[in-house]
Amino acid sequence: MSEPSLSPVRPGRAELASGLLVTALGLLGLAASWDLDRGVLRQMGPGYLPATVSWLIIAGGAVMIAAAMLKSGKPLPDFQFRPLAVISAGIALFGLTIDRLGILAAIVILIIVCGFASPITRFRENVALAVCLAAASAVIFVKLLGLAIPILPR
Amino acid sequence: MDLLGNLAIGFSVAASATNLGFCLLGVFVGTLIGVLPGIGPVATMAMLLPATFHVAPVSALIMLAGIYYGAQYGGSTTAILARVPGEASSLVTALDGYKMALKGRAGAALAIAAIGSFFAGTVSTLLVAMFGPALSKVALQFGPSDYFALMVLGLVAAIVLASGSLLKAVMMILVGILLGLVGTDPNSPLPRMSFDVPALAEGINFVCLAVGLFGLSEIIYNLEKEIVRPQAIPFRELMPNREEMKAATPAILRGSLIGSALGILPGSGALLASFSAYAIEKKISKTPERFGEGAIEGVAAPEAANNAGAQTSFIPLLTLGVPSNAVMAVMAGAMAIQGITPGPQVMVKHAELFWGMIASMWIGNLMLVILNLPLVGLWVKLLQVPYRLLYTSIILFCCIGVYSINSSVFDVYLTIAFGILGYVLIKLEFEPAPLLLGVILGPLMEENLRRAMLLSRGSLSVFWERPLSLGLLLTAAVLLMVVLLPSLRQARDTLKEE
Amino acid sequence: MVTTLTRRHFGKLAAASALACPAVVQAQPAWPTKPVRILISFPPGGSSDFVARAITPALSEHFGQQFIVDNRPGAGGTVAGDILRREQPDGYTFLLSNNAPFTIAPTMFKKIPYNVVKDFTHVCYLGATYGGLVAHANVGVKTAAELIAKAKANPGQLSFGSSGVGSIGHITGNTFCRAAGIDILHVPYRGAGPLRIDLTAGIIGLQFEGIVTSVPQIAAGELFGLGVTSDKRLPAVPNIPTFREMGYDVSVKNWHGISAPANLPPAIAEKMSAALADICTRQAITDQFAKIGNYYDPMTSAEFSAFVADQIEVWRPMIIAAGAAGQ
Repeated sequence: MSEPSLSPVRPGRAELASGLLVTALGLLGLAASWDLDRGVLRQMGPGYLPATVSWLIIAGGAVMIAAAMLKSGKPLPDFQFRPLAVISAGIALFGLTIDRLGILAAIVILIIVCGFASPITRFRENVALAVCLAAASAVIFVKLLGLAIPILPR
Repeated sequence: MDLLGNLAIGFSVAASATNLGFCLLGVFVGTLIGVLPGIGPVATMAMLLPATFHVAPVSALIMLAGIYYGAQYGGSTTAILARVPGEASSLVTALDGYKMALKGRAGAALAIAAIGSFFAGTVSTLLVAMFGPALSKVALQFGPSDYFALMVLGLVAAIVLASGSLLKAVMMILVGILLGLVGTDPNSPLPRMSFDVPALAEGINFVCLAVGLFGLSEIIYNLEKEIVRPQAIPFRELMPNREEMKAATPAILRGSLIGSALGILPGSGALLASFSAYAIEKKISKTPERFGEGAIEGVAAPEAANNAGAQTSFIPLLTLGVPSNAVMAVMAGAMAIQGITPGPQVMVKHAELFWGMIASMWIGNLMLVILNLPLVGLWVKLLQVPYRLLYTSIILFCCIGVYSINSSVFDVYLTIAFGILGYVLIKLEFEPAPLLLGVILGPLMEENLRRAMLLSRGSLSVFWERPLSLGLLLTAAVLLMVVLLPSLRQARDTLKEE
Repeated sequence: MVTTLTRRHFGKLAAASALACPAVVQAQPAWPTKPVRILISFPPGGSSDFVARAITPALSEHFGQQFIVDNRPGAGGTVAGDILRREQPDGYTFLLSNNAPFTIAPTMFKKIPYNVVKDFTHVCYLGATYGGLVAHANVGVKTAAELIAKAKANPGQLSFGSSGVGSIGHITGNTFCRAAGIDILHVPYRGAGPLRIDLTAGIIGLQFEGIVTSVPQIAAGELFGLGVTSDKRLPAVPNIPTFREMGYDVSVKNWHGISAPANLPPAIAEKMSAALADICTRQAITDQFAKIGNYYDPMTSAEFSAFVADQIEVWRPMIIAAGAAGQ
């Protein structure tokens, strides 16, 4: 189905973003493998495959960007940052506290913070859940399964 | 025939009260750690090794083996309920299994996973009993060039897996390969592409990838919208209905055979088996568009395949004494500690051990299906828990699971990064599954290609001189044509019109 | 509860003191009063893992406290070494030390986050396993002499596999080739497992890895044992000559021991040493060790520390010659 050649082409923002993301990943790969020895096919160095794959990715990304510019496409999808940011923060705090403050504190912090990711949680209920889960986890993972995680702060 | 006599010996050994007890313990622990993402059978078996010192060899090995295939059953549970693969081999189950759960068919998915796994376990145990030694000889025929060809075929199959844009699927595979190459390079002890971060020196942890890209991203995505939870399902509907059973049965059969075949191959036999089974189901289905949206074959085949693969991966160890993956290496160690040197003589000198283990594999599968089917009701009830309580619990499971692998907080941060990436990918309509497959297959391809080149002193002819690699590469080429043809035709048609 | 604990420990302390040198009465609580961690520098399933898991139950029983194994693999063992260096020298963290972090890493890597001699207390030696040269039947040689002849007649045509660049098998193989004046291609694998599979299949013909895993195949005639890296013939494979006796200076120990962070109180070190000296000579443990090919000789802590320091120098020229140094 072809479009009348007179209407302006609105670049598909979604496809554009996809292409940019892919190209960025390819560039990242190229940067990571820049100083590695490439070698030749018969004696491949550590950098051979990473570089090849990175270039292929960049090429694919370029094709996506070109296709996005030439055809009308979908607009950028609606990104909501609250769940993303809050959950990331919660898990990051878990990571920061588990070694120093032990499993009980880390879990309580994790669950309470992640509770703020969405309006569906109820604060007091969440706190109760946090405490129960923390206690249960300490029992199951440390006592029963014998994982080497400290329970209490050092 | 000797087989019946041997099986009789085996069952009499495996059915003793002590051994039944150990089997039950093993499969139970295995199921638990399979459900938990992160900690896997290898670490658990290693942790329980000292407990086996004072126990009879057969009992020890029965328990350890139970942990391994029990984990395959458990892994599918989290995959279906929360889209988090508890074990790497449940990755593919998470695709359609989770979609089925969203449609209220979680019970059916879980039940089919258990039933399919049991059937596959029976088939593969029989195969091990009847053809064990012969099958291992076949496995040894695979040289590095053949493996490389197999991996290429696997990558092409990964494209088949994708339901959306072909270009996006290929990009995901390539990005996956790139991520998989991070870490150690077989030809040098130095880490590569790790930006000098010591935790990345051994590579990006697969669990961080799977949990982040699949599980966390799904949670973040869910929290954006109003979540409709499935209604309470009456018991009759927990089990698969007749239509689903009819569709699933041939899938289970095919999955069992593929799994049994690929499981013998050293390396990631079970994972390769599960997504090959999925790809084949999708390819031969008359309605392939159902795949990725909750097709029951998409759960039945991979689950059968990964369980069959788990059973047959014992073959090289039991018949030749050669462990084919990390789990088998721990088993080999357990045998050594018990004074049994793994090797071809085990079948003869320790016949009761060999046959006892084979018999207990079947018994273990029986126990697992008996354990897991009633649990289906429990798991589905769990899904009724309000999401506001459920999602934080899932996040907790993921965090503990990831942290427990190496006691490394870096892994936890890495999982966050992949969760964010996964969320972005979902929004931009990329599929994460091909990426994960690329992560597994990429390094294997590179390793085998390099080794093939080294051993052939740089001559590429080794790929077409060996019949196995030639055959596999041709199959891959044909499959690629079949996949690309519709898209090429479409592109040609669009060009023609303008 | 506390009183019972101290009384029980007092009894054990008295017993341990009888074995160890006369100990000065310490003013602090008797060690150990809580679980002790033993780090392992490899993932589960390797030889150091088995050695650790063989002794930890006995240690737990002896001291009345849980001794747990904690696998911290990575970067050639340096991850575990770094963790140990940063721990408190309070006797609650040890490392199952071995070649990888303490003998090979200092030469192989340009920079490692610790100094093997200064940052650690080397407490006790636990034995060593030995490697051997094995050849698959399809190579067509039954003795080392035949191999050398074949290699000289066909330079660069034969290949040997190792469990990785810089691994013990790689270094041993390279040292042997230099000593014998032959040219054999080195093919690195990702670990001993994949190598073993290809060796069984005959895809690779030679390896220099731990000899114990190959014993059944040697007995079955699928593999031929051409030489071992110990100083004296090994009881497990008495028919295989040592490289030394064949005139090649290839004597390589894959040693295991217990190390702790620097400045570990001597009293704790002595208790640990004494307990291990007792445990390692028990029949049950010697049997376990024999199954994985670990041979134990008693060594004092001082001898062990000197041994560890010495091994770095012994291995340095071999690693450099194998091209694995200065990464």
